Formats: sequence, C-alpha cells, structure tokens
Amino acid sequence: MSSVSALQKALAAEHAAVYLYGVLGGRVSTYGDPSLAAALQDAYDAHRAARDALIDRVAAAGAHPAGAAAAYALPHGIDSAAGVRAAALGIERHCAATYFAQVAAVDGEDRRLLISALGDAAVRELSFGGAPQTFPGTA
Amino acid sequence: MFRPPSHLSRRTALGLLGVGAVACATGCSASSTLDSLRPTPLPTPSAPTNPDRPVLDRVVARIRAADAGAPSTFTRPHATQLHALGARAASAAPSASAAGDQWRRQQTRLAADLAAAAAQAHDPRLVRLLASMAAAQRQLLTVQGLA
Repeated sequence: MSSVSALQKALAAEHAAVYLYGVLGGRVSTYGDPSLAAALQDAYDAHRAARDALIDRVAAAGAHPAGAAAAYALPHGIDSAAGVRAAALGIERHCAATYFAQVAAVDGEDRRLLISALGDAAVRELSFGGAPQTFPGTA
Repeated sequence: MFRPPSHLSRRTALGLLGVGAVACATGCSASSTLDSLRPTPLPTPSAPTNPDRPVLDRVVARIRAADAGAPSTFTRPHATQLHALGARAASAAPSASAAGDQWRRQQTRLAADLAAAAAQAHDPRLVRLLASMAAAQRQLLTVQGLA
C-alpha cells in the first residue's frame, strides 16, 4: 500500500468522525449533559484538526485529498445520552483501528502524525466510557 | 492479541547468538591452527542483522526500568506487551534506584519513548505493535492522572 493511500484512508475516517460528532453534539444538547457535551465538543475540534492535518499531508505528497461523503450512516441508539456516549466510543475505536492499520505504511513525519493520532483516539475513548486496553486499535 | 514477530523474538535472537558464539569458538580455534598453512580466506557473508534489534532492545529496557517499583496498573499490561515483543517481564522487586516517585517520571517518559520507537522501527508488525503500546501507555497515564 502506498503512503498516500494510507493517509487517504485515515482522512476518510476523520471525515466520518467530524460528520458524526456534528450529529452527536446536536443530540446531546437536548439532554442537558454538560460534561458529555464538552467531551463531544473537544472530540469534534480534535477530529477537525486531525482531518486538516491529513489534508495537508496528502497535498504535500502531491495527491488530491479525498473529500467527505455527503452523509454517513448514523449509529443506532443515539436518542439517549448513553447511546450517544456509546456511539462516540465507537467512533474513537474506529479511528484508532484505522490509524493502527495504516501506521506502518507511512514513514517520517506522516508516521509520527498517525502514531500521535492513534494515541489521541485511544485517550478520547476514556472520555466516552472506554477502559485502558493493552493494545488500543486492535479491538 | 499480538503474536511476537517471529524473526524479532529475543529468545530466538539470543539462541542464534548462542549458536554463533559456539561456531565462532570452534571456528576460531580451528582457524588459528590452520592460519600458517593456508592463505587468508575470503570474508564470508555474516548472518543478516535485524535492523530493529536496537529499537527492540531499547524498548524492552525502558519498559523494565519504568516498571521497577511501579504499581500493577502499569506492570500487568506491560508484561503482556513484553510477551508480544518476545521478552520477559521485569522482576517484581523494585530496584533501590526506583525509590520514591522515579517510576512516575519513567512511566510518563515511556509514552514518548514508545512513540519514538514506533517511528523508527522497520518491520510493519513491530511498527503497529509499538504504536499501539504508545497509545496504551497514554491511556494508563490519563487514567492515573499522570498525563
């Protein structure tokens, strides 16, 4: 797999995360859960930053960054705070798994970016009910 | 769960080192006897070296050092991770130098060490393993309030 392909796959995961966190944030405000709302906002901001960083890296490699889809399938059960929390945990696990799968396909600054992003996603899992794992990104 | 990268196994590598040492010992004594009787031999190709060996050794040493005196919250997952690297866990007894809060500093530094090792490794399986271990360490530090 080429390094650009690996970056594009990571970018696709971040596009989805940004979209889904936008949806989840709107749901939580209804339930007046300030701590969850803050965690969702932080995650949304972090994924936007990660998306932008990946766009820059793909462009720096001379390729055209993949765009976001028009819409993404929403997780089930997001009509409650617990459901939103579980969906957010799922997003982070998906991102961590994507970074885990792609990290070895890139080198140098790109690899450092993916290593950092894998750790960021793993730490955010803790904000949404996740527990420390021995090998984040593999489950 | 990871399986140790077969060609990166420390035990395998140590076994190969042992075999090499025996071969060298016997070869050396034979060649010293024959040196005066035959021309200088052409250099023989050496066994291929594992480019990840320095990274692997450094990571194992750092984890063992960080775990000296650290609570099981850290040492338990590290034992599993060391096993995945083909190494044994650190001794349970803390060293004298691990007194006080030193383990906290070492554990905090370990996350960056693992990330740096993942950035340097060559074998794709080792890269993924180390990147995941760096992420796991960040999780532990966050949960323990050390991040």
